[in-house]
Amino acid sequence: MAFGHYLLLIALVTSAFTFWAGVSGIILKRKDLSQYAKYGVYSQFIFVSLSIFLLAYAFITRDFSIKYVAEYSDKQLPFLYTLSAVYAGQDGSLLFWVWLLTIYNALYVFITRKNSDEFKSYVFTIHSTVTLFFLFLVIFASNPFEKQASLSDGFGLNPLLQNPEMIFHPPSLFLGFVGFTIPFDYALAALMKGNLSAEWLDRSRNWTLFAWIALTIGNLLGAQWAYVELGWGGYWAWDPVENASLLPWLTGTAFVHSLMVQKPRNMMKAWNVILVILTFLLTILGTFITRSGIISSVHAFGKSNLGTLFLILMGIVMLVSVALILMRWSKLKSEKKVEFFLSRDFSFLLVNIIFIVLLIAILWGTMYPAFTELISGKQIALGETYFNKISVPIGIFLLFLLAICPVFSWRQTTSKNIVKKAFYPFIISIFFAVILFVLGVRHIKSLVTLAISSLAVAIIMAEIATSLSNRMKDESEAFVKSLIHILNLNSRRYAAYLIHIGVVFIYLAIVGTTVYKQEKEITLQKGEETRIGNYRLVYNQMGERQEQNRDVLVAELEVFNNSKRIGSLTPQRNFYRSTMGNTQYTTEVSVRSNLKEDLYVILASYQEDESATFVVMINPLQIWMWIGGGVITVGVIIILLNAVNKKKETKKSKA
Amino acid sequence: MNKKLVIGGLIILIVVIYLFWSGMKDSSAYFLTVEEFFNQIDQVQGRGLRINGDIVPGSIKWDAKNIMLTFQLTDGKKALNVRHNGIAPDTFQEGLSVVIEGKYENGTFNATQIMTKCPSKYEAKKE
Repeated sequence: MAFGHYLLLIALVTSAFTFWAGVSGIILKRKDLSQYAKYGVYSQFIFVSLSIFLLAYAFITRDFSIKYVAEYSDKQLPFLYTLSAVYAGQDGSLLFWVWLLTIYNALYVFITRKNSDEFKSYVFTIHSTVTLFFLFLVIFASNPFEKQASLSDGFGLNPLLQNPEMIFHPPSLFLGFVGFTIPFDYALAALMKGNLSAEWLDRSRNWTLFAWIALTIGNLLGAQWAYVELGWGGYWAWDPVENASLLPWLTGTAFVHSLMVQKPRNMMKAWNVILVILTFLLTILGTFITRSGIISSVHAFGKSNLGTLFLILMGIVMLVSVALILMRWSKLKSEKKVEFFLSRDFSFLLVNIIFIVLLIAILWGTMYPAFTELISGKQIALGETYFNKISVPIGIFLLFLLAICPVFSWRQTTSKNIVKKAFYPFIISIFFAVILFVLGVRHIKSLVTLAISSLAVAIIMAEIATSLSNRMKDESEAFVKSLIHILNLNSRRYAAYLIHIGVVFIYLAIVGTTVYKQEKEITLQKGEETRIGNYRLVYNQMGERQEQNRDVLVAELEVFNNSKRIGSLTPQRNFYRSTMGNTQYTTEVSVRSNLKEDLYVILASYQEDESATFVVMINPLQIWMWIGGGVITVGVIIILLNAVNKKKETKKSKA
Repeated sequence: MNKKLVIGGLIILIVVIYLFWSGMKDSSAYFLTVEEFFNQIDQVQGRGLRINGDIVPGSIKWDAKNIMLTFQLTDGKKALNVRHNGIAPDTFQEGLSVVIEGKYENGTFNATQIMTKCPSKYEAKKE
């Protein structure tokens, strides 16, 4: 057994100790035991860190006597991908998961060390319990340090994973998945303590936002990876593995909305608790789907016995949660009801319901093959049509709610007020739709989506304009000064709007790429050309070159826009050499992006007669998906920084 | 308030059920192995199918001019002729396990989509 494995065993013992000390500390109300538990949390982090560093070290030193290292790398693998190979496979990714769990817990204990948070000892104890389970899994069912007779070379990393997005996509996604553990800890802590005021939400809010943005970025990076690496010009295919990471995002997104309602309105108490537990369960379901082989997917990990263990974990979490919720039901129920439809309360409730409907639809579609196999012995799969049919109308409705939400205030909004805030934006969006129609946009769903998008932006602008002009009048200030002032005063509100604008950008990209995509497949001889949209592409030559672990075939195409030469595109085919495995190839697409559209070329094949086959596409507005992701990230960062500053200020004012 | 809520809820429910039903009606595809396919070849003519099998070594033919890929799919016993009017996906090669989606008509399977399994690691070299 490798040394790294021993370190994990020590971490396991430490977690068990932390669990014991934490629980005893809570029950016996002994501060010294809780203090020991905190040391336990730090030690878990140290031992698991050492262990994962050792695994990385084994990869760097090419120690092929460790099975996992031999299966996921070889001598020729470039350094960065050697590091990312640590979490490329199942065993390593679970160790990575555990590592993140211990990082979050240690960070939590460190950051809150001076806070008098009554939930604290519950939170890190529950967190340690989760860590304990995953450590157990890694050590006994999925050991990345398993030894074997040393090989002269490894099998290498799948070429599809040798891509920059793949360095960042898994860690970001995992940061999101694992990050929802802390809000989950808080929900259980609140249930156990019986304190179901909004306090647990306040205290876990920043953790929730961080987990949410990490999950959002992780999903977008995954989409980007599919777009540039899988070579079919799309970014989302409703594959079970993709859905697995979308499901917790849906409940997580519902949660970041519903958590705002409880404090001001004393509503959605039970809903918040259930939503957080559901999100946590869905992160585990995601790992279960990808690792159990229960549903055939294009890129799941191999079949393994881990499925059962994850089912057991889900079962335990569900039992404990349901028991706790029933125990506290009277407290959870003591809440106000929505009084008026025209209110922010109701719009938040509606958003939540819609997100849950979408969740059920996608969960149903994803699990359907497993259900039908259980019932009839045959797997029946639901294709893209099913998912698109459901998610498009629901998505448009969600966008509509996003657009009109700023006009509502808490409890009740007079219709006069709504008209005042929404009248001009509404006129603008109608006008916009008419222009689009005249310009030739006849696809009804696109037209509706684009009109609602403009409504969303217009309503936000109108609100800013109104408060700006009021302020300038009242204080007789200059424009810029007033603007800075109102943006500062309501920075959280405007950051939320910024996030919504990012979402609108993503909708634009979805409309462009799905409805207005152009695509052609063509075989060209040298010197021949093809046309797509306003572009003319001339296939000039084919070159070859050798790189560290691959042979590269590069086609060079000159690109003209109308008759003006605007550059060249160089799609590639990479042939990965491997001493132990088959030679594999991947296509590397070449993309020319601008704000209007992506020109996207794949080198599909190269024949002996020197002709080459290309897939040429125009993906309109594609870049707005990534810009939208950036805007959303900036919005969340503003909110998080704001929260940190506020904390500092309250500390100062207390002192 | 309550009455309105019930009516609103019902409308949403009906819309959602309609969406579920119409989506499922149009897109469910039977997931079969090559053997299962040949066992019920008469029932599945012209229906949406997904078939899982291995690519028969030596059967891949690529007609670059017409962008037509033909190959055979097998589960070790029988072989199914497949046509795909399009390019081969990455990692497509002899012996690989793939899932094809499409319809069976007039003796050939017209695949609209070919999905290669994408394992996270290299397949070991076959001797």
